[in-house]
Amino acid sequence: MTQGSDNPGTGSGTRHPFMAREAAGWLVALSDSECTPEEREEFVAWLRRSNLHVEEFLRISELTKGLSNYRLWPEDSVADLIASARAGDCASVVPIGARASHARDVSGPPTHGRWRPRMAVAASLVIILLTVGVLAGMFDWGSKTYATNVGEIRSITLEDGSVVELNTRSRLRARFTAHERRLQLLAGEAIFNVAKNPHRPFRVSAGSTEIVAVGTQFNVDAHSSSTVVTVLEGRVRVTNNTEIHSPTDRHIELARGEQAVIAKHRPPMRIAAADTAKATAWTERRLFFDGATLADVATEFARYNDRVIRINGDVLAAKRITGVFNSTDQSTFVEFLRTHSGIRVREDARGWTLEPGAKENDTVGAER
Amino acid sequence: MTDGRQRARIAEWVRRWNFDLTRFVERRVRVRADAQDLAQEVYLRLLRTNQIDLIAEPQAYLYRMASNVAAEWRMRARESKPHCSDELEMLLETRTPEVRLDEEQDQARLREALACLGVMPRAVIFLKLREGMTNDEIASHLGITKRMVKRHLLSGYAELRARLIPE
Repeated sequence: MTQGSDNPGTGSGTRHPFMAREAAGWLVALSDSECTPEEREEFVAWLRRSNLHVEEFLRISELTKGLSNYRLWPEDSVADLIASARAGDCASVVPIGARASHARDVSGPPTHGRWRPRMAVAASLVIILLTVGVLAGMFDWGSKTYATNVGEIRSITLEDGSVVELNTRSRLRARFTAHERRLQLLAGEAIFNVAKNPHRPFRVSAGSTEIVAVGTQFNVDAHSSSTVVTVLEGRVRVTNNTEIHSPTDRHIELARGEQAVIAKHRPPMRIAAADTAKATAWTERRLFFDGATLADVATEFARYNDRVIRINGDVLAAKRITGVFNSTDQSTFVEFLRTHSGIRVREDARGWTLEPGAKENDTVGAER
Repeated sequence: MTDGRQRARIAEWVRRWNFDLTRFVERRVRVRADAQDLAQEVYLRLLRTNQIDLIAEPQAYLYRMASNVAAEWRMRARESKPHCSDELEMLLETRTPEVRLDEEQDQARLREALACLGVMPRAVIFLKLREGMTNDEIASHLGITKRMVKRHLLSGYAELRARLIPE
């Protein structure tokens, strides 16, 4: 944990007001639609240079969030404010602040000459905006696909205000009409936080499973052969659309805290009082294992990582693991196994190979 | 030239990082975790991340990391002091009277700081944060260049930060 102190920028005495300005500059650059990948890379490099950079950036972000929630913008004075800003009337209202910010504008880093042909710029902007508007209309097919890479978690706000958290290696297609909201979980796992709208049901399908909700929150895990639906809030109806023996059992209703496992050609199986914290732990990049086999643990880690854990020997593969681990930090888990005398670890570029060591215990437990 | 799809992608991205930022701000444990410690922990995790080159959206990633650190602290605080969990819960609960009072004080301080800004930075910040306009939209709305929009934003943020967060 001493990495930070090796860094030249981390001493608490080296704080400089310029850092706040740099942080503000980054916030402006990143929120601009023309932000380039190079700029983002530079930003990451800047963050990694000092913890003070991280601190300044988080502080200024928090501040802007506070401002966007700010309730005290008095409506009439805002209209005046914009009118006077438009008229270029910079000397009014509070002269001190206006002067100070003006002076800073001139001394800012990207110095350049004043822009003369304002009208031309404004006119071309209008043309650009019009073009963009027309293109936006043309390219709206009504269906959008979202995907995540290995180890990636994405939060997606859908057009109706519903929020989807998409887990690692997942693909989701969304198609909205005036009468329904249809989503297809093509692969992986997701939490759906559904915005309430009884006139526009929210349908999620994963394989042959269909889930219908109105306004609720639930997790769908379709990464293995069977689909697991966990309800975090409200109620949903789960249907298995494949051929099954007893048609009356095709669908069940699930309440908060309930879970259903849907295997192919079987009616949905209800599991009451499921551990919802476990089902949603992935949003915090946590993996919970309660007596899982080492083979299962390795498979679960493989969902989130490019490097894999290979196990030699059936006895070792069946070893029980209990613990909480970071899903994208496999190396800590491997370090933890290394401390166990029954396991030998070999590391290479593709991952780790585990082999039985001298002595073996039956279970391994950890809290991390 | 940006087309409709790219525009939609950017809009979606902005919504997403805003969501992460909201989570970060909500999870900040004001009482127990101070900003410095939080930044230190986030920084160390950032250094440990080896997929850094893969990060397409560093800002959202940073907020998520900060939000997760804050959440972990909250969890740990709950676990390590089981005997006073009620009290902690109360402190952490966002709608307590104390927090509401804090909010009111924050709002008053924001109002004061905003009043000290020039007309132009204030208008630009309002259109950006409250109205959610893009820099292009702000530029055409106020009849200034996009570069000026960015400059006013930068100086406005820096000025507010200097006034609102004491060293």
